[in-house]
Amino acid sequence: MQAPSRRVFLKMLGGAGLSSFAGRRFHPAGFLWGAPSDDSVSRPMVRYPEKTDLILLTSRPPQLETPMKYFDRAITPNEAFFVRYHITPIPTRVDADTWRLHIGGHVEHDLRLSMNDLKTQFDKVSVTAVAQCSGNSRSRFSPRVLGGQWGDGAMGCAEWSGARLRDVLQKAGVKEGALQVTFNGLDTPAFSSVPDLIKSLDVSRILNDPNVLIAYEMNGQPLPLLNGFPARVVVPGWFADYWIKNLEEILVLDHPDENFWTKTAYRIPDTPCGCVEPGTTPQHTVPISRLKVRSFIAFPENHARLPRGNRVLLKGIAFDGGFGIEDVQLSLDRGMNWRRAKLGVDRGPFSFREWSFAWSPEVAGEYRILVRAFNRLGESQSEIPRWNPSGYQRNVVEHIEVVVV
Amino acid sequence: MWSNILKSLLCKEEFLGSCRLNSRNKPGIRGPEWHLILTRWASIVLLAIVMTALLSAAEKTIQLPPDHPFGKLKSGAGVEVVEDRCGVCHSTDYIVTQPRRDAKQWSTEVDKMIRVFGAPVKEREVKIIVDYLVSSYGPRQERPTRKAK
Ligand code: HEC
Repeated sequence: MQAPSRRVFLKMLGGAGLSSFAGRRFHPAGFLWGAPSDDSVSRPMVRYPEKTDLILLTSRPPQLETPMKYFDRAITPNEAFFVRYHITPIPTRVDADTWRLHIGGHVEHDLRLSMNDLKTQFDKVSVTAVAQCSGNSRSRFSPRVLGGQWGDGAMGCAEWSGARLRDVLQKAGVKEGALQVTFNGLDTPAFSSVPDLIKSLDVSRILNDPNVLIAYEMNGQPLPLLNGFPARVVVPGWFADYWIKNLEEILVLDHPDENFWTKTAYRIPDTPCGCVEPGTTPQHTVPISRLKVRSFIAFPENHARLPRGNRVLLKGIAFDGGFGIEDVQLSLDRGMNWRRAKLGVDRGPFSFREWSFAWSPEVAGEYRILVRAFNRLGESQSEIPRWNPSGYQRNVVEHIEVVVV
Repeated sequence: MWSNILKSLLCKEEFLGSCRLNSRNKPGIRGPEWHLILTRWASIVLLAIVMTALLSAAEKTIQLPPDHPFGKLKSGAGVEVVEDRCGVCHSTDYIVTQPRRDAKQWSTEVDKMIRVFGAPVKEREVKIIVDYLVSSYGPRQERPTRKAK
């Protein structure tokens, strides 16, 4: 999607009472970027089964955030990968030998695939792809919004391996008139009034995309239970709400999916920028889909103190919704001048792209370091935060502050 | 790590069969210590079985920790009702981590829990819950807006 149209851009500025700055690129004052909230409860580090120390968001169901220090590399370790469940209870015991994946609905043959079937009857393919929660960075929104108050760590990148979803659907034989395909996991709400977490994709979307997988491996290992063991849906380039974990059932529908989590939740304003004037309600909404361009500085950490005259290698990652990152740039002077970072290995268009940037600060003082990325379509990050009431798809230019001493 | 475990199962210096040679060379030791060698072999076989079971990872069982105390609601009038009614589907860290909301916003949120998710809240409890949320997690007194440096 494109940067906000000039009209929306001006409206947003006007709404914030800042119209005098309109048209300027990167106002040096910097407050337009929206500082991390200083109001949030300080969140503890916790260690869950098969995971390392992660930042707790909620205990029940578990939601765990990856610390920024892991985003200095393209591949997020399985044990550090974020965890996001919606409903309780979640599965705590899964036996892959007795597990069966049901494929049914509007198909010729109802299938019940064992893990062995999945591994032997279909090609095994791998794709390196970013999973990012729609609400990643929600706590940075201003005005703030209700919902999981994630920092920036509800994202990760792994090499996913498994069967192509389209191969599995072809084996089942999609019938004429099929419209959408729903995914359901082993988590089933204890309260029957809570809608079960079911997500869907268009049949055409799946049949045309060889990268949509039923993944049973993550970085060459079985998935951690909290990341979807024994198998999860992987939709490279799209937000992670579609990536149903602990997958149990795939149903082909001959009518539109009317489930709560598709029809009511996970929707963004139907405007070119997916945003509305802060504090307002959109008139029309559409399901969230493709990831926006983002980039982060993982090293040094925010508020680091750096010795003057020493060379420091800044590191981080950038990603987009599947076109591929072409350029990452840094600014050491609040957006006046931008310099190119060095890009790491290209692991395909859906992956985190590592970048590094050597800097030898000569002058003591406080610095705000900005990072922005461009993908192959020329799309980049927004200069002022785009707002929507659910706190989705944040992609503002990111920054850290450091002190050179 | 595994090599260490393996080592501890074997002779101090060398692998099983060669223990004999070693022990022969040592003064005061007559022959191979068969009972030791046998128990060591048995342990290795056992370990191998356990390891294959672990590595095949056909089954995973995890235990989740209880609700973390950081999500505990502040004390205040009506807190028990909120704990009871708002803690059944999710831990209350869902509440304490939210940005401060005013009466209208909290009341909309409580209404959403009841209407959309079917939270079992009685009519007369709604006001108790909203009042508690506003007094504990409502707007702060005027405070200066964060200035950019
Ligand atoms: C019947 C189950 C249920 C009960 C009872 C319940 N909730 Fe929720 N609550 C949910 C679900 C489901 C979510 C959404 C979870 C998600 O998206 O991860 C949620 C989310 C929330 C959120 C996060 C913001 C949002 O809207 O997603 C807040 C805050 C919240 N609940 C407050 C409350 C309060 C206050 C009460 C007591 C009146 C309550 N809940 C009772 C099911 C419930």
